[in-house]
Amino acid sequence: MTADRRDPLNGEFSDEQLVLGDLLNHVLDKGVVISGQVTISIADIDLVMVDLRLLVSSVQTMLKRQSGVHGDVPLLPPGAPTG
Amino acid sequence: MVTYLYCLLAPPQADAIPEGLLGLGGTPVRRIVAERSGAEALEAWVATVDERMFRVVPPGSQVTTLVLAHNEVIGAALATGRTPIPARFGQRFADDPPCLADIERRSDALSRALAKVAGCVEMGIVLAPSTSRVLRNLEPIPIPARPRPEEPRAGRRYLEGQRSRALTNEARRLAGDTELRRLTAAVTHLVRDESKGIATTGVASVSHLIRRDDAQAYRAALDAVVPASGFRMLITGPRAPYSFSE
Repeated sequence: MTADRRDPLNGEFSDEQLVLGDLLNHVLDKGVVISGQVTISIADIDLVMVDLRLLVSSVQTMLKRQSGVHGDVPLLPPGAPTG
Repeated sequence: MVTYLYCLLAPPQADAIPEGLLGLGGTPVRRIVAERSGAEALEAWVATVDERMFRVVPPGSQVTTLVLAHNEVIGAALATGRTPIPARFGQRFADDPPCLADIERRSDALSRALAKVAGCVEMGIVLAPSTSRVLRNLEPIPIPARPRPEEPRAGRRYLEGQRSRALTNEARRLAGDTELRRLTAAVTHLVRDESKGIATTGVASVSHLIRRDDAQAYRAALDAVVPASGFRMLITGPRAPYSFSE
């Protein structure tokens, strides 16, 4: 979802980065889905518009799905920006 | 312009939105109410936002800004004393009527979800490798000398290295899971529901639905537990029940 922001001095995420990352994961990946369209961020690729019927996912969900249904759903709609 | 959905609440309260509350792109937050015959109405916090906000491809930092703005509005909803069901980030509708229509269509399920989280908040544990463990992991791996003729060739050594790394990562994941379970045991008596996160980059997490009044007790119980060597623990929350609103 975001670039690797590990502290270059000791190679680990700071507490603030961990809390922020956890919050971003929750907001992007959790919560009720009513309908309509959602906007998501995939890794370092900027916001991509997708239709709910195609795919609603954040990075973690995407990773989870890779082991199960990889390739079953298009990640990006035709013509979507790729970066 | 489109209608952007932040969260749902019940029962409706006419003056619940703090004066001047702004959301995504600095747009004012307002409420709309989905009436239901014979059942409690549902309140939705929404805003009228520029659709281009989502079509423009911003840098990652702007994504973070939008997400934080979304979360702040939901935090304001939680501060009303009611527990909101957060909407997934980015949900928008052509206008208010289609938004209300979709809410009404799913109103039974939404009411059940609201009842489940009523009076509760979400707390969480984030478990990350400690500095010492990270440094240990960063220690250089000795480069083996050129193999003698009877030793495995480069391809095989590469595959063996990959397998070794995979086993190490799995061992770390299992160790994280075990430690997370141990820490969770300290708050089990407060937990009404649990949602486990997916371990990534060595970080494991779990979310707990607890009574709003138990948030301090939750922190105190975890503060009394010392994480195992090689781990550090962060406590998150209280926040709206994102993990229990699907």
